[in-house]
Amino acid sequence: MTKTKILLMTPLLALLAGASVTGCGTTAANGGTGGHGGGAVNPSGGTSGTGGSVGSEGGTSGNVAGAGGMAATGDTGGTPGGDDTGGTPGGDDTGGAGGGSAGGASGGSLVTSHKITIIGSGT
Amino acid sequence: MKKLTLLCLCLCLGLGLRSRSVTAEPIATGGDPSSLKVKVYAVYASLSAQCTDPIQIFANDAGTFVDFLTNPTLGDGELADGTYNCVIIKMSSIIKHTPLMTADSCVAGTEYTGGVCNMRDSSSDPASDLAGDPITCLGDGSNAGSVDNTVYMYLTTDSAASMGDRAFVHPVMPGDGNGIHLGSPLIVSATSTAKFVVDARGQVVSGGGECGINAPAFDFVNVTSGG
Repeated sequence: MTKTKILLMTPLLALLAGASVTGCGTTAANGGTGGHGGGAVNPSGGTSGTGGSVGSEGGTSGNVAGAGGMAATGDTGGTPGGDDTGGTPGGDDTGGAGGGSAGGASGGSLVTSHKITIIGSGT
Repeated sequence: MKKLTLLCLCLCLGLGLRSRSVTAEPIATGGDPSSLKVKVYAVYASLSAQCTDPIQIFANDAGTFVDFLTNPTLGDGELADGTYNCVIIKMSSIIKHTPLMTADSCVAGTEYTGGVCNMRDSSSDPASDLAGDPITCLGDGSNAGSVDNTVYMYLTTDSAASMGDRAFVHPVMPGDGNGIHLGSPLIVSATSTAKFVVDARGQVVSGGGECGINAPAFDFVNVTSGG
């Protein structure tokens, strides 16, 4: 078995409102299980974070490549989380899962409207 | 001389067609019309009693004269929920009417034309457009001399709004007396129907060989709402 080496990049969490955080993908080590991409964190009201980075290369035989990072949930018109590329399949193994989905839908207040019909009248 | 003065007064009120009596029931001094045709180009609503930032509900740029006595549908559109303190009617200054009964110069079944526009003989209160710019009202208001001017009627909840003589003057500031008083705001919270009332009952008058119509009572009311 190939020597396992796992490198983890801790997601950077921005604590300031409105900032976005980019998750980092982990590196799947050869022969090991690929790490999950870092989750993008999105503080309330901020733009959505960028999805985690590309999952690392899949491990060699018998291992599973790391999954891509998760997309952030956008609040106010967040930019889509970056699509991550799944890890490269390692040997006989399954490739890493795809990257995160798009960021959250546009936020903001919801405006409700209704149809109004206007008629003329002589009385 | 007295008769001539009275006739002149009738012509001024009836054929000049300045909007002096509105919202309240018109004083029935004349006959009823069997048809009352008004051309509406567009309807707007504004949250502000000063009619700022009007939102167009619908528009019909070509416009057609429709008989208000048949309760025609003027148009419809989507409007964001809210309380609208101003409703603006973009309309032709021409009003066509047909007397129900024959009396003097008014012949039943014959359609007559008159015009409403504030600017004539009232330069201090000129009709104004959505931007507040004055509108030049052409024509003399007679049956033959009425000209189709486009005017805007400003119905506002401002308690100081006029009862009609400044109906076509854009409100500028609270209490300026411009516009025509709107009894209650247009509240949009569900699908609804509103009614633009032009009540000319008892307002058909004759004199001097002309058949005119006194200023109708204008009103705008929300009549139904649901789901």
